[in-house]
Amino acid sequence: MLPYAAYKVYQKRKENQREMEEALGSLTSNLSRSIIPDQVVMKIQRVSAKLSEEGDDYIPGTLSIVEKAQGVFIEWSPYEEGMDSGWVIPGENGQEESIRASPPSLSPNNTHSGDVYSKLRFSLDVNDLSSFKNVEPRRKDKGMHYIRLICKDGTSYVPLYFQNGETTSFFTVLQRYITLRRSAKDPTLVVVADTKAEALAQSVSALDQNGDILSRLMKNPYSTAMTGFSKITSFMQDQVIPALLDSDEVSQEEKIRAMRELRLKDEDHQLRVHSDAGGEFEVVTQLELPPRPDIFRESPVTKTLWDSFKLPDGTFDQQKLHHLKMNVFRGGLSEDLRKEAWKYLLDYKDWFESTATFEKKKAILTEEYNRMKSQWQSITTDQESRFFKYSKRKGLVEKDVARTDRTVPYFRGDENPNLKVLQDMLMTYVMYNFDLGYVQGMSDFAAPILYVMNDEIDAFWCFVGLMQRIQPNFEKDQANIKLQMNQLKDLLVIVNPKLANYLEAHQSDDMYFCFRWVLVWFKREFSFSDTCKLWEVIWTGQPCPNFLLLLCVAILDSQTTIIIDNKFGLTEILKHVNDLSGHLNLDEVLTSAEAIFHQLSASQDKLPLHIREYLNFSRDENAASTP
Amino acid sequence: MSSVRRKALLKVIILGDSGVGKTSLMNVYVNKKFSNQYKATIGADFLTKEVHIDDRTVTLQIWDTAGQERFQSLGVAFYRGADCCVLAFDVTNPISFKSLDSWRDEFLIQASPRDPEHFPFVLLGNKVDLEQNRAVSAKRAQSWCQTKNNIPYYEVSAKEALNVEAAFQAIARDALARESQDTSDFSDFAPPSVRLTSNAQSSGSSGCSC
Ligand SMILES: Nc1nc2c(ncn2[C@@H]2O[C@H](COP(=O)(O)OP(=O)(O)OP(=O)(O)O)[C@@H](O)[C@H]2O)c(=O)[nH]1
Ligand SMILES: [Mg+2]
Repeated sequence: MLPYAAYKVYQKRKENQREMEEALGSLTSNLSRSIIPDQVVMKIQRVSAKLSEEGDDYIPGTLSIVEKAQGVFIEWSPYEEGMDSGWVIPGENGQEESIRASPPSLSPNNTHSGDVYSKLRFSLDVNDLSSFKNVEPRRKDKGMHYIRLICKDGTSYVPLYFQNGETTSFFTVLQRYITLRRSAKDPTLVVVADTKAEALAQSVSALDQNGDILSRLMKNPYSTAMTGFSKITSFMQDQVIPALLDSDEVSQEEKIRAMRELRLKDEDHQLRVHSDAGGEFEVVTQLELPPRPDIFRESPVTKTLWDSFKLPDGTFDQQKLHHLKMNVFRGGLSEDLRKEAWKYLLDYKDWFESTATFEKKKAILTEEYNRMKSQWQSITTDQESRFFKYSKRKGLVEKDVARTDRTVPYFRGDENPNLKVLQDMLMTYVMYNFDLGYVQGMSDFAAPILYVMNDEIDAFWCFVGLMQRIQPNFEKDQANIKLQMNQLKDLLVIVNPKLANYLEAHQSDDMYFCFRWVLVWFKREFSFSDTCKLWEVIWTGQPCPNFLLLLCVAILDSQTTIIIDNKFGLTEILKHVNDLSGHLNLDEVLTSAEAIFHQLSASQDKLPLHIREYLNFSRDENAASTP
Repeated sequence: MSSVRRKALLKVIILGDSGVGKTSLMNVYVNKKFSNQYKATIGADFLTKEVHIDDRTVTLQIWDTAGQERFQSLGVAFYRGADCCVLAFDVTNPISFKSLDSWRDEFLIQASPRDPEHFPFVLLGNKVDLEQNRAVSAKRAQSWCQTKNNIPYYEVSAKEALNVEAAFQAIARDALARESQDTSDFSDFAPPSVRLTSNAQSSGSSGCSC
């Protein structure tokens, strides 16, 4: 972005600034901080924070750039409550989006109390800024320009929407303090230039003659290395690249020598490069997947459509069942159908069981439930005092029920009777499966089921059906979680080797940062109503087992540029992934996960056996029988 | 690296049983807000806060993890490089007090700091606003601390924001003191594998009592 001439000027200014900082630093250590007054360099009104991807939950406020004794800060604060209330932003379509029929809970104005407002207020040292998303509306009259600041430690702030469109002045002022550059791969990502990398690029730009990999490596060492080499030795990752980046620690000659040592045989793939350490780049043949197809979501399955798949006795036509499940997979369920459909999806009702048979079964299960419930209810406080395993579980359940989906109206308020129902359900599950007991995360699954069923016994047995599938995730040894993390990594290596390599080079290939996704199936990442939709899609078991992992791959894939261009390490990746919560678009995630499925499916005979197994592609009988 | 280190970054890990109030304490300290709507922690996360100690500005990176034991094994990578470990229990819950030994041991094994005997720990007894339900006396907590090389003890309440600021200020101070001892050698910057000292293994496994 910045021409090189301007860069020199900038360096100069930076030096002056450093001198000034040092002077100020010694001042502040002697005098109290308050002597140097803060100077507000710019202030933009009507910059609104959007609380979550879903809905139109904007909080208007002021964005400013402030020079303080400690440094230069980007600050945002919401307007004082009451001031400017009733401020409405039109939806992206020029009209207010109709609030979904789904859980009334999600009406943003009620869910967020005053404390959320003040929590959003932030003050960020410009030196801690790593990059920001800068998204302009596709058409001037539609939607608003927004930015999302991302720090060096991985923290992402709430998206800020510029109602007055005054972004240019903001960038202009910001450029006084830091150098901004648009990411080559993602035009919506603006990266704060690493001055060292910049200086280095400058100093060796003389070498850049043929636009070969050497110069690409200079300009963007990380990503070039990642795309250029299939696999890189840790020596390269840990020593060479950082050294190249760090102009303070390596002399100019050394840098150039190191660069020259990176002999290249082939520009893009199949490199063999020798390094000082004698290591050799491992060459992995890259599987080229076909392009990702365009996928479109469909509208939710309605009650009428659902019923059309039913036979008169209430059972489903076996021939058409797959078709029905695909419909649910592609569009989810309409709100009024969930109560019925989830019973099937969660194996409480059998697809081929008549209404009459189910009624009989239900009578038995009701009795069964009440019996187990009375078992724990009969335990007295005195008995409990000598029944540690039980009382410990009870304590956990109580604490978690109090902390589960409390912003959703169905569970809101201290005296809410639904809390007791949730508690009873979970305690009865402890009796139903005492070997497993209660494990954190279970309440996250139980709450939406109770909300949809709105009936303790139906909800319990649906929950049991779900637990049947996910119980291994809660076992003490956590082996199943670790297994899924490995599978996720294997899938990522195929779908996005560049990111997979990057994670490995940054000690993040245990995929721990996806733990929450895998344990509670994105419950913490999406809103309550989106979670319901996501889960019913997954419960169909379509189009393959382990679709959850493809969702993880899809989200990670969408973050590739941000992670790599910001040079995030272990902690920053974790923070960034955590901060995606509330800012993911469900339909986008679902369509890209499905598209990835089609990519893999189209090249299934070239996939390694274990990958085929995860996704149940084992069509080839011979391959399946080999050890 | 030099410009990144201009500000000292101190890594603090909060450990303790589920529900003792780790997430609440961290949020009260960093965001000045207590909310009874925090969710049970799944996985790990951290918040950062700048603090001024004497004439220095340091950034505290406070790590919050899940309290349920079975989820611990996965997140231990984040213990490494810690400058201070905060142990938390709930004064109304004796079980959470009994667990402290195993939390401390687990930390020492996983983080394997050099000189584990003198690694800074701080103990927080939370929820003192529920005085009527107190089950662990300050005296009992203090005597536990004495047996562990005089760990400083603070009685706090996240709900009433009682003593939280003071406790974290002391935590930052302890962490900083340790950090400045370390500045002569640069082992903190070495990749984690290099830091795995072997002596921690032996000192860590002193049996978990509950
Ligand atoms: N009365 C009172 N309640 C508190 C206090 N601190 C936390 N709580 C409550 O205790 C419960 C647990 O608090 P958390 O902060 O979520 O506990 P945690 O230690 O993070 O728990 P995990 O994430 O499960 O490990 C919540 O319901 C809080 O509202 C306190 O100082 N006083
Ligand atoms: Mg917590």
